[in-house]
Amino acid sequence: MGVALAIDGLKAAAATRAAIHGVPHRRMEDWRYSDLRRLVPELPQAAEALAADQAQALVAQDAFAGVAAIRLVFANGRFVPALSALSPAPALQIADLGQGLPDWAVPHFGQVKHPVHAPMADMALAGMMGGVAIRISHNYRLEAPLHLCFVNAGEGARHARVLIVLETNAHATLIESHSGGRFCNMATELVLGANATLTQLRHAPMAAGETSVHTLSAAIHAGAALNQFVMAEGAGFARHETGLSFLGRSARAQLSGVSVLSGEGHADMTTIADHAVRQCTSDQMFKAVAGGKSRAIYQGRVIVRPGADGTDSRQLAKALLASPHAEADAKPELEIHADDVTCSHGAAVGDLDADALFYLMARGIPVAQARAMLTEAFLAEVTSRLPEGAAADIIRARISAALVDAGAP
Amino acid sequence: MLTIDDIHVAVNGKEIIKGLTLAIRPGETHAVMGPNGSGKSTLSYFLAGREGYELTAGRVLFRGEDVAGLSPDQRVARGMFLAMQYPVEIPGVATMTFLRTALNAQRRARGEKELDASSFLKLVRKHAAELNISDDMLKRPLNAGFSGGEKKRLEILQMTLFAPLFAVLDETDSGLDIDALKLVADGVNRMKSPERSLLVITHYQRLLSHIVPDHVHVLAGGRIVKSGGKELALELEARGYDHIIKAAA
Repeated sequence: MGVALAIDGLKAAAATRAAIHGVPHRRMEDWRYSDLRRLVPELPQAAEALAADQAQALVAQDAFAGVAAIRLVFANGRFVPALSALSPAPALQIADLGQGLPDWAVPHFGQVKHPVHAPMADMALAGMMGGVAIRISHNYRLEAPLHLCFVNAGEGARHARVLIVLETNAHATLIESHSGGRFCNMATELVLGANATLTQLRHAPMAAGETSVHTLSAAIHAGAALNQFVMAEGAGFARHETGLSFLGRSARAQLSGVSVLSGEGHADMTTIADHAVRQCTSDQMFKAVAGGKSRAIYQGRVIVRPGADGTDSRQLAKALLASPHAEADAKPELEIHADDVTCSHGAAVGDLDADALFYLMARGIPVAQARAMLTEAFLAEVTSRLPEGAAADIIRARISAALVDAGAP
Repeated sequence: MLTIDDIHVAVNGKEIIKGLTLAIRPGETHAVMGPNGSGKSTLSYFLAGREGYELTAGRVLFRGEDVAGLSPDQRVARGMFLAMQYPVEIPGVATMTFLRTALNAQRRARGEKELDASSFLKLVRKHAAELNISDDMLKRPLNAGFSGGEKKRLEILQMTLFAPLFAVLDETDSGLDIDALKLVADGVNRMKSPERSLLVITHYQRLLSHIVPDHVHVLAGGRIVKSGGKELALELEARGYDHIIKAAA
């Protein structure tokens, strides 16, 4: 069947591209803050497959295990059909890419454009150990969230690819959770058909010594909306890169993120919003609380191409340094080639406001409690963007718990 | 109640208060008046225990206890309170949450039972009405977007809720129109009692027509240069600080 060959061809082409550049490093502008090559000079060998009972035990420990969802499990980078729901409804198709590429996925898989060169997405395809393609049919509203549950253990690398296609006026919520593993690289392609909406919640805790790279490439058609919320936490290294291509009028994307870092944690939130058509909106807000010797990064590029009038783009990145050894970098960038646009950006790095801290203490609130109140208040602007529901509540709880680890109780 | 004994206070290594002595007994209202830069705000922040306001000599006793080692919240738990000249705006902290957290933190520190949500709400509603503070105002983030008058009324609401034994009112009249001034002053006057003492810090006499002091002190160059009764405030208003300070020198 030609479909399996199609994947092989795509993998070979990706391997060729990946080999040219190698592991990204700080002399590449898009990776200047995240020198992956220093951490991982050579990509590790593929991680060993997990035993079924071990994978099952890890799934049970997942932060979102209690959420009623259509769960798709990846264990050490490999899709595990036995632990996953496959095509549970006619309007929802889920295909294991290990079995080849379904016909409907051929025009999309490996074809969704990323606005800039995305070397790690190429590597995820070249080294793909597992993958799924998900399609939600026209006019279908998926009530239960889809849960991509990545469980990992031990050394080695994991490379996974996911394709999600929401057809015209389809609606869904996606939860992504990640746990453990020395090196994880996953790339997702997302196609939002006209007037489709996707809410995406990603929780990526990284323990010391763990490295993960996430690349999302989204093609957003007219009137469609992506609402993304990413939470990074811990003392490991994480890169969350999201590339948006607006392909039809009045498409919208809201990108939000919270990083709560401790130890030598490193969280790099990188976004590229490519406005090629009129009247689209990209609204970004990223906040970080950095403790220990951690480093919080935001780099966001907004490109407004000729003719993309009526573009509305907002970028806000703020970091709170909870320790004198923590660091934050923010680099919002605008490339505007149209006249009638509204683009704003702002960035701020600092400590808690001394006047506010004194005010709370002068009303009887002890210092630790006062700091906690102000830190939660700092994050409130972005956490208020979380939707209702059990999964969002789990993220809120994780944020509170992570603040204690970051030394910003 | 409060004994300030020849204190010297430095901010960023610069001495601002240079030998100030003041004794306030229970039930008394004292006013400290002074020109800009005389050390009025330094005195209020220092008494509240703000970091960076360093005592280089002298001591302060509150009900017999040396407050030097006490943090701002510990002072509040013991019954001290500062109504600030510039209440801080804190978006992201709801006013009601703040009020309840603060009141319960004080009660906890004193070993008292915390107030449950409904008794707390009743208490706030009662006092808020006296100060013409609407439910809507209490639903907003703390001081965020409040007018000058709203901020000062919220300060007095807090003072009423916390019922301190000793309160410093720092330039409470600044930014208030006549009606708001009266509302705030009435709120303060309701608090007066034989057990409670007030220290009113102000540049202008007008607040003292509403909150009538027992003693008035003139602060200049970091020390008290003249003390008197309430008539001293009127004399200052009539003749200006320069005249009094020169006469006292």
